[in-house]
Amino acid sequence: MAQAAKSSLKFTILAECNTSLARTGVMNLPHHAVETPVFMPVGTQGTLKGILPDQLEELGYQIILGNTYHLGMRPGPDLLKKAGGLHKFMGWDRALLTDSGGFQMVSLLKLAEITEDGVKFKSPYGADDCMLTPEESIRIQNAIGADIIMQLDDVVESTLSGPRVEESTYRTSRWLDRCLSAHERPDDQTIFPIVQGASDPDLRLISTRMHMEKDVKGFALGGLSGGEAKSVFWKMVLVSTKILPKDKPRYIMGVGFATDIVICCALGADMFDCVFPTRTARFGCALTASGQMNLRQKKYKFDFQPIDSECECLTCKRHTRAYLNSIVTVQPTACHLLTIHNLYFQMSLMRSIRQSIKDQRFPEFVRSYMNKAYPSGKFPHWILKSLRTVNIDLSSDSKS
Amino acid sequence: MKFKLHQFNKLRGRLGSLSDVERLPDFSMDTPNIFLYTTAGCIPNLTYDVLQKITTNVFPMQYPLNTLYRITEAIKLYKKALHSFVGQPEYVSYCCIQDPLYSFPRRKHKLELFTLNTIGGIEFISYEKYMEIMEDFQPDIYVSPSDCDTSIFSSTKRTCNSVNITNRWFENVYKIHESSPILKNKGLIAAVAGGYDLMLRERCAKYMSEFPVLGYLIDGLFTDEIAAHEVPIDSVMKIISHTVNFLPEERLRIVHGSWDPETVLKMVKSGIDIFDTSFPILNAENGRALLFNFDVPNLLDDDVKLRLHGEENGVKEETSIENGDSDIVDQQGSGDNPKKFKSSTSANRGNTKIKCENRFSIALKDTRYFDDLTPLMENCSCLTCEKHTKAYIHHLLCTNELLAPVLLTIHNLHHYIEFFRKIREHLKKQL
Ligand SMILES: [Zn+2]
Ligand SMILES: [Zn+2]
Repeated sequence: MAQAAKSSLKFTILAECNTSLARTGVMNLPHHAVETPVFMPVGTQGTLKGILPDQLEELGYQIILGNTYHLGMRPGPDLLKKAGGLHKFMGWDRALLTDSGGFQMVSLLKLAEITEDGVKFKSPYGADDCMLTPEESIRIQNAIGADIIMQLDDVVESTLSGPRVEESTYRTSRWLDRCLSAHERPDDQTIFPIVQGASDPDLRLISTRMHMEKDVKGFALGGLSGGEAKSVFWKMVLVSTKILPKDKPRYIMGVGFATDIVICCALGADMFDCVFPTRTARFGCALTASGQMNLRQKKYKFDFQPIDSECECLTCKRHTRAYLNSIVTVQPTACHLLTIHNLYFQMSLMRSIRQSIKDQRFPEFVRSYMNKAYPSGKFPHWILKSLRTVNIDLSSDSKS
Repeated sequence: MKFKLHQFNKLRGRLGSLSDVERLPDFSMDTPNIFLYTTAGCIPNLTYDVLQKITTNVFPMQYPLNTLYRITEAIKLYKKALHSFVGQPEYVSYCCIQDPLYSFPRRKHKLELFTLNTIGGIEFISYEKYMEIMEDFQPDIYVSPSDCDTSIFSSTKRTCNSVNITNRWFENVYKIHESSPILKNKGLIAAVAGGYDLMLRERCAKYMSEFPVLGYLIDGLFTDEIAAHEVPIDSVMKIISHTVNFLPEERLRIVHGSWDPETVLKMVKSGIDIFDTSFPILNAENGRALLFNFDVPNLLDDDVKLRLHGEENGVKEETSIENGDSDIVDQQGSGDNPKKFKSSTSANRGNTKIKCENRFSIALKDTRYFDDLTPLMENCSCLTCEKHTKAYIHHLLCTNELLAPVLLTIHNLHHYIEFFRKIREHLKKQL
């Protein structure tokens, strides 16, 4: 860390897929090196669903995400500063990323009102009106001290169209300038701009181009985890990844379902985050290559297999579906066990993606992944189409 | 399964060891010591890998049948033992009837059957049925079925009945134990009934002492009506010291329950060998860290008063507990809804949650810890104290995060294990 060049982010591509836009690399951050493509689990309040930082390291995680909105409320920037940042406060030595707080505010608080100045909202802990400006978001994120921080963006629903989308696209760009000039720790934290433009390819293109003119070390694509159709989703990703500079990482915000990750990697994306794998664990849901398994179901009562007999995680090595069925949603330990499995599942997916790109067999990996996910062979149209755009044909059995 | 008594003194306690488990030849444990409390087969909030971070010693695990009743059928079909089914085959298994932290409203008794308060409701089962379940569970040690559902509130008539039934059952239970190829090599622990009646205790203990069992559980000291640590110390100590007089010295003596550490010390001195870890677990689940200082020269003195670490600088009084229940953020749809999860957790404990305010621990939700960036305890070598601060645990409690009880369980179990190590150290010097 100390001997490394004084750079808040250094991205090195190790291999590129000869067929698709997929690539694998290493992102050197002040706290840790991160192998990409990477899935970042979400530790909203400075903790990840009862999992110890040591356990996350043992699972192989190199970066996790914190939420600025929640951490700004509790414990608040003053205490985080006093503690020496979120890393020290939560006992996590590896890399961290924080969002801007804007998305949470707009999605959680119905009373949020967006003006050119920032996002106005009613504090859930008092009667006062609060204002989250780009400057305030960066001030809090500087106190949290994550390796990668996000600009405050003007979030609109991905299904919206019309002048509001245009306004949000250009405003996001103006807010980026304000964030960059408010940033007080450029040596150890780097700001990612966020591409907006809802489902309008032209606006997305404009937004991407505007951000590319700025002095930034990576890019995020926002507004893509909403209710937009899958057929729109992948096109919006491609609009940006096609023109973004190759030597900077691309982060698709809020996307983390295994299939979406595989497609986005083929389209040239490097970073993902999602609450789903950890959140679903507490409702008794385990992730497997062939889909989700709800262990609350009666059919598992006498099922003495592990969740996945090929899984090497601590849960699958030790516990049967029958035992998990008897404790899910009742014992907190069950939640930990499923979280461990789900985090392991996401990690091994990312490892396989990275390795297959290095070995120049990413297209084969995608085919075998899709065959497991859709054993009937009936692939959704958007999957066929998006993969075909990057030269991966699911229908062919022969090696490319 | 063998218990060896190494040294004893009727007023100062005993040193012994447990060993010779058929299945786990390397196992050996010095007593006085603990059995690890589990509920539904797991230590609350701990996965196997986290337990390894607390201790790699193999303690026996205490499995209360009432928390496992719903999986008896599955274990029968599984054909392997309970400890394999719950994924802890490396640990000695000790099966008993009732979870010492389980809390349920009162209910009726049925003649010749004993009551099990399970998650699914009350079950009445016969001793024959219990023995069949034990054959399926194949525990290394198990408690005999008994009618020990008595407490300090029970009437003499009820307590008398409990002894009559327990004694009567035991004769048959012993026959089944002896003739069962699966059970005969397992350690049988005879439950001694008698509530808070000295005469009845004597009668039951004398009767049980005739059988060559591994040891005795002094049962019927508390029920879900009143938790162990709420029973007046003097009353319970009178019963314990009287009962042990009628138990053969060379056999193991067990007491269950969340007794506070000073009561534990008194019980050790009257000759109890084994306790469970329900006290540290209960504290962790209530947001409390055990901080009592057992590093004192007079640990086994009659008048010993255990104080909190750092309390010498003035007695700390608990101030306001920050109201962390205002989960407005989560109610508005971040979706995790810790409240919902929390309520299902306490439902598992029954209708009323056992309270556990005590002067041996601190409540981390107290606002004074908001910005306290020091560890729970200086000089504690547990993972929680090495890596985390009071302020962090306070934050986790205020946000209802699952990691709070995990970190507190790590510290509390570590602290309790060390407490017993210290007890044995003192006994070695004083016996
Ligand atoms: Zn697994
Ligand atoms: Zn500690």
